[in-house]
Parts: sequence; C-alpha cells; structure tokens
Amino acid sequence: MAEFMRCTSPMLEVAQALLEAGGEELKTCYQCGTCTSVCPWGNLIEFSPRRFIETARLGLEGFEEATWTCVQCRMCQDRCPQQIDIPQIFRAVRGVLSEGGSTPPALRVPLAGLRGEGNPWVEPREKKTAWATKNDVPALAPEHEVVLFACCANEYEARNQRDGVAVAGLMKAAGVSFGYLGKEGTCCGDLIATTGAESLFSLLRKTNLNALGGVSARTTVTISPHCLNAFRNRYPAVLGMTFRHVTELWDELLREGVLKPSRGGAARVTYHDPCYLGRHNGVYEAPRNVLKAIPGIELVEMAHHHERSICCGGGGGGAWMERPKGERLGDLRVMEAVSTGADTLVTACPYCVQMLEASVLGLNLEGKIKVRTVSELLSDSIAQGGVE
Amino acid sequence: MSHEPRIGVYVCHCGVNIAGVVDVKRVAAEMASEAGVVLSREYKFMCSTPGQEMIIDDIQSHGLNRVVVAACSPRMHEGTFQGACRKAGVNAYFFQMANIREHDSWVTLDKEEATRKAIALTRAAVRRVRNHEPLETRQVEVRKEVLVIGGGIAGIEAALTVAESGNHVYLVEREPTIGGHMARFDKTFPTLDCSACILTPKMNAVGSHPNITLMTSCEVEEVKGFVGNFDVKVKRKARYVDHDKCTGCGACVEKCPVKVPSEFDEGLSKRKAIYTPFPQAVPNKPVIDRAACTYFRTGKCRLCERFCEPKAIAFEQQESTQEIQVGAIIVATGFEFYRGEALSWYGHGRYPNVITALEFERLNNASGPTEGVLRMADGRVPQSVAILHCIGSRDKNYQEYCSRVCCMYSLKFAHLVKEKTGAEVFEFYIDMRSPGKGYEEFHDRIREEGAHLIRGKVGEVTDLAVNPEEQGRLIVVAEDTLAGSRLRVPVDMVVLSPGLSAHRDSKVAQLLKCAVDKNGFFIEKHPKLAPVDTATDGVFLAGCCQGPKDIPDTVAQSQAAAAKALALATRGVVEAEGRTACIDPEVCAGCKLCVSLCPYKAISFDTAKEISVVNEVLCKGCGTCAAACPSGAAQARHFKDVHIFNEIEGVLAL
Repeated sequence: MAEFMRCTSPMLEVAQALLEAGGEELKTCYQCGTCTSVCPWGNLIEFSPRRFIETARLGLEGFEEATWTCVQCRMCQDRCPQQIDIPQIFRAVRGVLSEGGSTPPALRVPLAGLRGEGNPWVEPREKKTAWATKNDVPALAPEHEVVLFACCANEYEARNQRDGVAVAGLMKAAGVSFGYLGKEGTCCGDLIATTGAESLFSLLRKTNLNALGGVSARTTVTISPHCLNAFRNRYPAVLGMTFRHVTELWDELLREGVLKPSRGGAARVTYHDPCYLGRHNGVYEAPRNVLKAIPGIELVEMAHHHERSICCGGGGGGAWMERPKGERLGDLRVMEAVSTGADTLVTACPYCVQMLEASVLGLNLEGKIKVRTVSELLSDSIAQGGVE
Repeated sequence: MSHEPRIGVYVCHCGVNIAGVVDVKRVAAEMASEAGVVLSREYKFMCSTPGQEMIIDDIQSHGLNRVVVAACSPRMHEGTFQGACRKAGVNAYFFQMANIREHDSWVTLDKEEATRKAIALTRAAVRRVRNHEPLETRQVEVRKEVLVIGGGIAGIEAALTVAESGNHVYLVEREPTIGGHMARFDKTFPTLDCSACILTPKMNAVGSHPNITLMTSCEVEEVKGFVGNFDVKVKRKARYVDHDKCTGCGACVEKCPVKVPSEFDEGLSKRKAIYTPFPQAVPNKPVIDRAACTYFRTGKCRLCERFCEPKAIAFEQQESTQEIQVGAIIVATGFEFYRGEALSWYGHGRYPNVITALEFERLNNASGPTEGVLRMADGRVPQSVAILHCIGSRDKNYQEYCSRVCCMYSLKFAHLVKEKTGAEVFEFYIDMRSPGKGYEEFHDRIREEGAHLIRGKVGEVTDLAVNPEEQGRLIVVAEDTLAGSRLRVPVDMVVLSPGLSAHRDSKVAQLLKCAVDKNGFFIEKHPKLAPVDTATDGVFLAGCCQGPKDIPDTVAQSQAAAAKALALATRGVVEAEGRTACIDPEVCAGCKLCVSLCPYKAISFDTAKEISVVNEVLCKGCGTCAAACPSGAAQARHFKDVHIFNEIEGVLAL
C-alpha cells in the first residue's frame, strides 16, 4: 500500500527551527521567482532560490542540497519585490544544518583554521605580520590617525600580499598617518559568517572589537570589501569608528590632489564590482573614479556591471569549495571581461582576485588578460609608489 | 434649566469586541463614584434599539442632563447617541463619547491594561461633560450646482448623471479635451468593445448637454467655503484660439508647419503646434501649444491665422480666472501609469521593441500612429511577443499594491496580438487575478486561444544572446515557477504592463483639504461604508483618484458619487456646526491676528468697537483662532480650556 500513498507532509518542526534561526522573512515570499531568474547561477546550473524558500518554509525534503550553493551576492535580495533578505535565509538554514553536523567537508579546513589560527588556511598565527615586517608597513601606534586592516589573504597568501604592499605604499606616498593592526586583530569573520558558523564568527568579532576598542584612531581602512562589510554591517556600531574601503580613500586623496598619478598605464581595463563592495555596501563609483584618474587607462564596462555585476563565485564560502569546470561563476565573469577587449580585469577584493585568477588559468587565458587590483594599478602610476 | 450635572454613564460590551478584553463591569462601577454621576451601567450593544431606549428612559425617569457612552469611535455612533439624547429632550452637546474599542480593546492585549485604559478614557469623558454647554446647530441652504474635477470616464459619467437630474454641472478638465485614458485605449476587457465607440457618445453628450458647463484647459485654483456653499476659482489656460468663433474646420492644423511628438499617441506620432489631441476630441476645436509654436518662439509665422476664415486665432489671449459657486464637488482626477525605475530592468528606453501598455494601446488603435497595425520599430510584424505583468506593482521597492486591472488588460493584449499577428504570445504573471463579471471566462478564452501563460515574474530582458536562436532578439529571463525551470524566451517584442499610480503633480487634494494615502490616492471616509465620501463634507470621490480600478467599477463609483452629491442638493439644507468659535468682546484687544489666520475667512474686524467678530455661518470650529489668540478672548465652543483640562485630569487620575 505504501508505494501508492507517496506524498509529502509538511515538517513544521523543521520549518519552525529555520524561522527561529533567522529565516523569519521567508514567510512573506509569494513565490514569483524573480530571485531565480536574476541569480547568476541560472547561467550555469539548475538552482532555484524560490524553490529553496518554498521547501524550507514547509520543511520539505530537498532544501538541504541547495543550501550551500548560494554565493550571497545579494542580486536576488535587491530585486525581491517583497524585499526579503534571501541571503540571510540561506545563512539561517546553513546554521541549522551545521548544528546538526551537516557542514560540507570543504568547509572543515577554513573552520578549523579560523578557530585555531585565526585564518582560513591554518597558517600559523605567528606568521600573520611577516609580510608587514618584510615590507616596512608601520605597526599601529597611538599617534596614528588611521588603522589599516588587512585581509587574511593579504597577510598569508602570496598573490594578495602584493596588493597589501601596494596599499601600504600608497598610504605612505600620500602621507597618511596610518598603522597596521597586526596580531591583536584576527580575521574579520565575514565570509565564515555566511556559512552559518555564528559562534565562530562571534569569537572572531570579539577579538577584533577588543583590538579596535583600544585604539585612538577614529578611522579604519580595509583592503577587502568583506572586512568592510563585517565592520559596517555585522559588528555593533559601539566602536564609534568610521570604516572605509581603500578605494574610497584613494578617490578622496585623488580629488584632493594629494595623490598625483603620472605614469600612464596604457591599458584597456574593465572593472569587476565585488558583491560586498557594490551591492552590499553601495560603493560603485569610487573605484571607477580612481581608474579614470590614471593617465592612459581606458575603462570599459562588461555586459553586467554596477548593480547587475555577476559574482566571482567566492562569496558565501564559495572560495573554499571546489566546483567542476563549466560550473564556475568566475569563468563566466572572465569570459565577459575578455569579450570587452580589455587586457586587464581590475577588481578590489582579495577573494575576487583569487577566483578570477583561478578562472584565467583554468581557461588558459593568461596571455590574454591579467587580474589586478585598483590599488595595484594606482600604485604603478605613482612615482614613489614603493612597490616591491 | 438646572445646570447641576446629572450624568448617566453607559459602558458598551460591543459583543465581545470590548467585553472580551475590558472588564466592563469594573469600568461601570468605577464611574459610579465620579462626581455628578447618577447612574452607571454596562450593556451588550448600546447602539441597538434597546440600548438607545435605555438612555431615553433613564433621562426621563432619572432626570439625567448629561450622557456618556463608552463604546466605539464617535465616527461610528456619535450621531446615534446624540439622536437618543435629543429625543429625550437633552441637547446633543451634553453627550460625550469615550472610544474604548478602536483606542483600547482592539489594540491592547493585556486585559488589566485594557480595563485601566477604559476607566481612564471614560473618566475623562465624564469629567469633560460636566462643563459642557448646550449648543445650537443652524441650517444652511445648499447650492444645487455641482463641480466635477477631471474629464475622464469617471468625471464624464458623474457629470452626465448629475446633469440628467436637472442640476447644473461644471466639468473642469486640465487637458484640451475630455476623454482621459479611456479615449486612448483600443479595446476594453472582457467584452472587447471598442473603447472609443462606447466613450465618444458620452463625450459628445457632455459637450452638448444644456446642464453641463464644460471647462477644458482649465484647472481648479482655489476652493473656499464648506459643504453646500463652495466658492471655487478656476484658472483657464490660454488656448490662443477663440472657441466661440472657431468652427473646428481644421485648416489651421493642416497649414501649421511645426511637428512635435503627440502626447496622445505616447510620442509614437507627431502632432502640429496647433492641434486637437485626437479626431473625436470634445471640444473638437484646436489649441496652440505655446512652447512649440514658431510664432511664439520667434515672432514670425502666423500661418494658422492667415488660413483661419472665422478669425478665431487669438495670439493675444491671456490666462483668465473664473469664479463658480457650487454645493458639492466630485473629484475624478484619475491616475497615471507607473513610469518609474522598474521599467529600466526590462530594457524600456534601451531596446526600441520594449514598449509599455499605453504604447501598445496606441499601436493597436485604428486611429493610432500605425492605423492599428502592430509593428516593431523597424516596421516588421512581430512573430513572438512577451507580455510582462506587475511592472512596478506588488513590489515593495516601487508600488506595494496590486493595481487590479493589469492582469485583465494584459490578457486583452494577448488576444489582440493573436488576432492581429498570429504571433506566439508568452505572458508572464505572478498570480492571475481575474475577479469580475466575465473576467475568469475571459482568462479561459485567452488560454484557449493558445497564449502561453507562464507563472513567474521576469527578472530581466536582455539582448545578450547565448545561442544563434537568440541572436538579434530580445531574451526574456524568468523562472517558470510551476515547472521549476529557469526560462530564456527569445521574442521580437516585449510589452510591459505597469501598474497605476496616483497623480504626483496634483494639488487638488490640498485645495479640498482631503487626505491622501501613502501611495497618493484620496482616502475615502470609510473603506466599506462610505466609499465615495471624504472627510471633507460635500466632497465626493469617483474613479481611480481613490485607488486603481477598472472601467465598470469606475462608472459605478461615479454614479454613486453623483447620487451622493444629488442627495445633498435635493435635501437642500445642511446642519451647520454648533461647535463654532466665539470671541469675548470684553477681552479682545483687537490685534486682528485671528482675522488673518482664519482659513474660512469667518472672522471680520468691527472697526467701530475695535474687536474681532466671528461669523458663525462660516466658522467651522477648527480652533485656529483660539490657539493663536494672545489674550484668550477667542475660544472654541466645546473645546474651551476647562473642557480640555478636565479631560486631561480625567485621563491622569488614578
């Protein structure tokens, strides 16, 4: 008899757990499918945030698989007619699944690294400031006006160290009174928070709040949009501090004439909006203004830019999860960049750099297009850049 | 008459509405000990006949001279209980109501809290009523004339209904012709009547009706007075054509050398600088568009004047103002289609073959720019058309509300596309809303005709092709939420169906002291029981100015508004407010502050006595003078300091 009675009943206990974990807003979803139609995954795989919400709402089987796909790019949220924070629903479900022990294996390394060493690569904590020492980046002192907060990638990962060095060099060139927050701080926790690891995130946040709470500087500049987002949107405002992204600082210093780019780049560049700089924090023009201020640089836009920019695939823990060829958002983005005829794909986020460079390699396009950051290009154009 | 207060207090259960939360027995018991209270009762439904009779009996047998009812909102039943008092010989202003339903039981969860609040509100009413004074209402005559603002189908219908009764109507329309949106539509759902064919006879009837003064190119500029006696200033824009002389022959239009985009055709065709908006316009006489006219721009041309036989061209014409007196006003100012940012997600303005509903209507219309042939920008006939519902609608980023008509007009579009071109039609909807007579059947018919109705809101329209089939076409991206598939549908043409918006530029609500809701639509007096009244007596609503609605509902509402205006005119008198202001001549210092502030021009200055005097016929009791008077001479009857302070003390007493 049983096989003739196949039907599914709502599992309201499961649904209730998801609501209580922070999925409240899914109640108002009216299932229009806008999220699915604007989701960048739609170009590559079958993925329906709408269906995810509907199954989660009734606790039906099936939502678990979709849970880890979302890259938290916020495209759906910005277009949702009910203004539902869809990324938050994914985070809530991830939290519930993680508590039940269903964390994807790929996340075990970053989770362990962050818990033990304060970085997602399980690099020893002592090595955190080695890059700064080597490159004469001043350590934070009481007289400094600006805190430089580097991303773990700037600290531990060779490619992104170059970006960190460029940033420090530009700050020096501009005479900014700044110091680098070293071992007192730790990973901002932004990316791991999107995997639902709430308690780990709280630990990291506590460390950073302690570190920043004791400094006299009133401004913190971040290299990564993720750190910016964590400070602006995930940390309490108790610090009373202003948080800025480096591109915002460069834009200001250029407008004031403090930084004067002279050496031309003679490059045709296109700019990739990092989701956490653009959609999450509304910074679209500052990085473009910087690029436009560099002599010889021609800025062209890709098919999707500003509010419509496509994620590199690194958000929401995607940077730590392997995807088979043909299912990589970064590939899509690099192909879009190549089709503009640009020789340089510029961005402003360490994780975007990682993802996009991996795609350039994977697609055998090294000869065709380079991945650089806004800071690197600006540094190239400043005579006393102090780069490498 | 003894003025020693003898107060009766009545606490209403309102079934369980109040008694379910408020301990009504305790409220009544508490009131019994208040000074002046002779009896205090609670009862299931005070508004019922036995409830009212209880008040009347008590007044007569206990000699009550003040009554307090603690029940619902005074907007609901103040009149009911005042009537009972009056019947028993007690002046209506010796009645006071405490609202323990809307202000208390409906909004307070905790029973103890609710009961304490009810006691406080009722006590305030009891203490206030002690010092009330008897006030008299007066009867004021009502003017029979009616003003209708707006000449779309709503205004046309209201004007004709009033005019047919024998009363005179002034119909004010700001455009050069009446007809509104309906004149621009091709067919009407669900019957597919030709919109112009059913509208133009009504337009002509308005134009020729002896009881209608049609005022096109006019705008209401100022409204003074009150129900039954409105004085209205109407601004007549310069038309530069003397319509008394003009025969409407059209020679001027033919000769005019200037061509500008036609508003009537959504810019899809050109009109002249001297023009009638469309062939069936009423009045069917041209006006000159000053901004476009060569003569006005350069001082040369005057070709129209040269060819005008009746010498009707009047370049020297000036804007003028006319004053009219009416007893009632019907607002029929209509709507505009949503034209906001949401359109840009779908490529409107970027791709020429993405058009809006109104552009589609004009392209389909036999008198439109293509004489009714549905064509793309390059002149080809589309082989496939996508129709996108809910553009800017049901969307908290833009307009949260459902505009009610878009599903139906979009289904109509599907039919028209099929009928005219045989093209494939893909219609993307969120929820199909077809509640109306014959509407569901029409929906069914469209499915039968083979339109592909897809449940899913479109995310974007793009020209970025990913395969040869998409090359050179518009690709509509949406999730078919029923199949669970993300679709890319290549089409030749995309029609956007935007919702309806309130007029953003209209000052009419402000002029009439009418409230609008957060979306800009006029607020009716009661959403169910007074749908065409407004909070301003004598001002009634018809059509989309009150909220989006279709033509049948608009016509019904227009007739209702006309009936309300006629009821007023037929009754012939209104009760003037007894709660007017008064100025104590002993105290007034003659500063004239009140004279300048009074919004009803009800205060004049007596130069002989050097004091300000209130004209009680004009006074609406708004209290502005009382609030402003530096010496305290001006007081609002029924809202004197003693009343307000007693009320506050009543609320605060524990």
